[in-house]
Amino acid sequence: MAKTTATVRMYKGLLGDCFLIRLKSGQSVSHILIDCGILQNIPGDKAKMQAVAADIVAETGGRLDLLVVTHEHHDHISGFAHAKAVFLEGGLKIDNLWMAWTEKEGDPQADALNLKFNKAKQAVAMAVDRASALAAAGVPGADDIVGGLEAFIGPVDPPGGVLGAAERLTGKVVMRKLKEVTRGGGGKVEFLEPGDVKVTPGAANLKAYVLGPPRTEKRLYHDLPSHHPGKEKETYLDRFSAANQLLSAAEGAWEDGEPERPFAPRHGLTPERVQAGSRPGHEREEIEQDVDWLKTTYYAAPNWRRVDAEWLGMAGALALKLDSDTNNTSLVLAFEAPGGEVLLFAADAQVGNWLSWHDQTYGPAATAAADLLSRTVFYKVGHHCSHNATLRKDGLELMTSPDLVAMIPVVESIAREQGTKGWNMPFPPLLERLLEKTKGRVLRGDQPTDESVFKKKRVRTGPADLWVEYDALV
Amino acid sequence: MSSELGVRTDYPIPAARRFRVYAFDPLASTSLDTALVNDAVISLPWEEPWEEPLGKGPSGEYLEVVDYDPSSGLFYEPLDPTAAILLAQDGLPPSESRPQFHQQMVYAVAMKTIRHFERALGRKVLWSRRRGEPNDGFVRKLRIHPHALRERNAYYSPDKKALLFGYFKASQTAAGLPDGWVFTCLSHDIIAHETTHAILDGVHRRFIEPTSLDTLAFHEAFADIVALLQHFTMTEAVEQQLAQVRGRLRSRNLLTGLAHQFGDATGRMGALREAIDIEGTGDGTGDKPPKRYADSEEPHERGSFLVAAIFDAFVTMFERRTADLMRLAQTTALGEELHPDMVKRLAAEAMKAADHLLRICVRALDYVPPIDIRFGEFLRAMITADADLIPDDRLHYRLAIAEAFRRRGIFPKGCLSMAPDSLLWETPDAWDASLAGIYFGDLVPDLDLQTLYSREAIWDQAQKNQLAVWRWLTHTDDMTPEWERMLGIRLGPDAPMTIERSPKTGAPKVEVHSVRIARRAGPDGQDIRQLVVEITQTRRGFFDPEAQARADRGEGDPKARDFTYRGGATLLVDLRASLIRYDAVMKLSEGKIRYAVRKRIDDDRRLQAQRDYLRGGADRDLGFVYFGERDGQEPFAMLHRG
Repeated sequence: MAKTTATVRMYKGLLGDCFLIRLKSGQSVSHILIDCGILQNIPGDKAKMQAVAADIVAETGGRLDLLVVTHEHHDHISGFAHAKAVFLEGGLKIDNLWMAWTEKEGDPQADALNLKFNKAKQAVAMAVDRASALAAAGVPGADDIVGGLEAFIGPVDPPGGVLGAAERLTGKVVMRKLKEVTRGGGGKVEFLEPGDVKVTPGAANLKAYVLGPPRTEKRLYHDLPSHHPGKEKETYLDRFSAANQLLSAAEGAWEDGEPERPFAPRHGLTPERVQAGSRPGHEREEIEQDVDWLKTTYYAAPNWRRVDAEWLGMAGALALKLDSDTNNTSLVLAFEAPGGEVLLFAADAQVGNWLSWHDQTYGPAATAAADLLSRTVFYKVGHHCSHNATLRKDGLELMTSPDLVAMIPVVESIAREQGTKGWNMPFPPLLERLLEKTKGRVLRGDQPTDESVFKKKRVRTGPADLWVEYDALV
Repeated sequence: MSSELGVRTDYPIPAARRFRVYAFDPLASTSLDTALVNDAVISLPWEEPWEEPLGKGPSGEYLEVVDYDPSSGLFYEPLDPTAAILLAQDGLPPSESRPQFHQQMVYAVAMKTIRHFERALGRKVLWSRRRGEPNDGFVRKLRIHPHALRERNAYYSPDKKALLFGYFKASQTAAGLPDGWVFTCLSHDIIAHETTHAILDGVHRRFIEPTSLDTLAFHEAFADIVALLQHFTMTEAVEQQLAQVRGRLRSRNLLTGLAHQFGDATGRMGALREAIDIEGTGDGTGDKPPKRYADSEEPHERGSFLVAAIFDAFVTMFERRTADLMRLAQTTALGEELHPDMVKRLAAEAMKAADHLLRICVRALDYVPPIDIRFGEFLRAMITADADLIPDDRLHYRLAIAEAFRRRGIFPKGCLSMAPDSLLWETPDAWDASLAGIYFGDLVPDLDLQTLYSREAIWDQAQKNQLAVWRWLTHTDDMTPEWERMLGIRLGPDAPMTIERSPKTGAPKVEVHSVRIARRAGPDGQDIRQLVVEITQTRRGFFDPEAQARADRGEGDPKARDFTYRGGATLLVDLRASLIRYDAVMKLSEGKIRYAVRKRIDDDRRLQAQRDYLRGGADRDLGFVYFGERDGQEPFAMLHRG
């Protein structure tokens, strides 16, 4: 059997993942694409992703042996929408599509999970909706809430929806269309389970170990390094409670039809009534005095005193948790060469996902995750090198190969602009450790590569700095 | 009718206004044991002539309850606490279903907390400045919104100068009422906690800046301490609980936990937080806490060490005060009930000890550095503040406090030992003999030191005095290196260029944060009149030490920074005349600087520590890294939501 070589091409300048792997065995060549996305609201994102898509078509001759979509996040899938002619409308033929079990419709656990995610998303979208309306009315603080939330859930329909607009390519729709277009072209869609050992389809191939996402809920909802083992359950309950509280207020009733308001109907005056002021000779005199007092105190006071929008701030915490939970549904693959070297693609897996890799063994030889990590020569760094997406003790420290190379799909300058304080990507202590472990062989999406630290001619950079590629298996 | 009361009649004005509240929260009313003592009454002093009279809302000199519930889209009618029918019955009776009772309780508990602070601080409570407001940012009233949020949260908003309380449906597993409504504004503890945040921000507005783990945790811990010690102001509840635990306070009970209903409703099977950290109820001395303070990195958890230390000190004080009583009553056998008279005596001692300790804690706020506070510094502040007022520590309170800190591994830096006299802040001339001649004597005549009553007048006076101190500092020619050393700031042209410069003069900027006058009376008639002056400087911080060095030399963009670093000092100035050594002669003068509690602006080790904290903190909540959008504005909301 001929030797299999692998080249990993990382598309640069994206705060998002897009990796094209070229496998060669003798004359046989096959192509694997893992994700294709860019963060939302980046100027020029569409053109950028179309250029990426064009390069993928040119490189693969318009046919992918395998497309892997790790999880439903904008920065991993938006490219499919930006270049929909290529990916969603048949421009590129997809022979095989791999997704995580979480995308399998009809799977009770996956359906329940998606139901919860949807509920949280709805709640966040509702908060955006309400906050936008308040912002339009000039209520202070409402703008910040809208801005903060959009960074997480992507652009949201303006209140009332888009009349007459075509179907929006939301994350859900993109995921569905990818399945449809693959099947429509005669391709095969598979949903992978943790512990699976597959062989990548195509003429040249590698073994693929499926490390995550876990089926265990405790792991699935474990996002952050925790000082309180066993406390995750509580957080998990909390977040859906939060979604429920938000939604119940918005929808006017709980699922079981109980009234959403805490007090009997005889209490309370609507804002409209208060703003209109007292009506002489109407109802009881004391109530009219109350109306005037409230009007003066609340509406005639300086604007910064108003608190109309504050309760929507909780959607921020909810959005944050939803975001981390979705990251934790990342499909994590370890590709193994016949010689034993491993290429690890961790997508955006968070703490629980990483921990779960060690919960099972793999294949008839009962291979351990620690063994795979010890043979890892290429690591696609999790979640743009954030602080909670590379496990230390049971992760990076187990990667002991002297040949280790890391790729980080990150644009630090853009990450630092997100929010008011900036996202801490790459997380400095982690980056430092990666540089140590790889002896400086870290390829970044936002920097030119110092080729001198790599073995001869194993690194190449594409025209206009569109990509950088590395011969991971030679 | 109501408004005429106390104005037109010849009747004497009552001493107090009385409001009915829950002693704990509504949950305590659902259990037979505690229902009887859960109905409590808070007495607040009747408004003084210079204060705004109490009115609708309730609204008064300090607070204004405005009950808008945006998630339900309703305003609730404001309570009129001056209505004759309510005056005759100490306000509305406790009721969860009447929003006006919520308004009454939140007002009464917040006011009680304010009064406790004023008594201990020896001055009026003022809210922190709001930039852009007239009169140098004076905000008379803190707003309280009892139903502003629909979530398991309540927070103080420094930006809105408001307390926002949430309500929510309890979890399915709550023992109280699964799926029942829970109102955070009906929890005595939560109200006291949030009010304390606001008061503390009014005293030290830089303490909300996350410069170290301790600083963030301090706000939380201090708020918990106040809520906890205030449990011991409600006589009936204290007596009932003490009878139940037979006078032993080292085991968990209703008095040692915080926010029971909230804890229950959120699936915790007990209080939200507990003051007793050391398991095993014995005398506590031999047991070790499960985790050391130095290992904890989550703000509430870290704060819990401070809370536990204070509570431990409290119990030791209580035990010392009651040792003779316990011996007299010979109540050693378990299972025996205490005599009701004995319970009353014990309760009185517990309340006295709690009151003393609360005062010590609050007074210590004038003895801490103006920025970047650490728990160890708070310990030193407590010891010094207490020693200043009460030189003779007959009951060894200070030892009890130091011991409780030591047991939890909370050590101050740079102290000889944990003995109380080693923990006192040094006087400036003790750490540097050349500072002996330094005093504020020539400044004192420029200050307005008259005793004022109206809060707005006090605010104005403080602004004027701040300006006077600032002028004195920046326009004086004899700004010697000794002064710089004492204040921990740099004023000369050789100061690092990262220290912010005045756009007008190009000289390093100095901020005089506050100039407060405090008068305090000790139990034996001791009288202290002090000036508390806080002086700070701001410096641009960089994550990369080399970038820092370059910027310090003045290279690069003069506005660039990765973070803000501050330094400065709190000065405690004696307003009484004292002997000062000046040019080798002793002379009598006002304005002796008793203590200078400083954090140097040019301390590169501390700069590195803050850098490490901001950059590292791998285990900190993602909220800090990620969701920057809001946490700058609502520092407390995220801490509580996350």
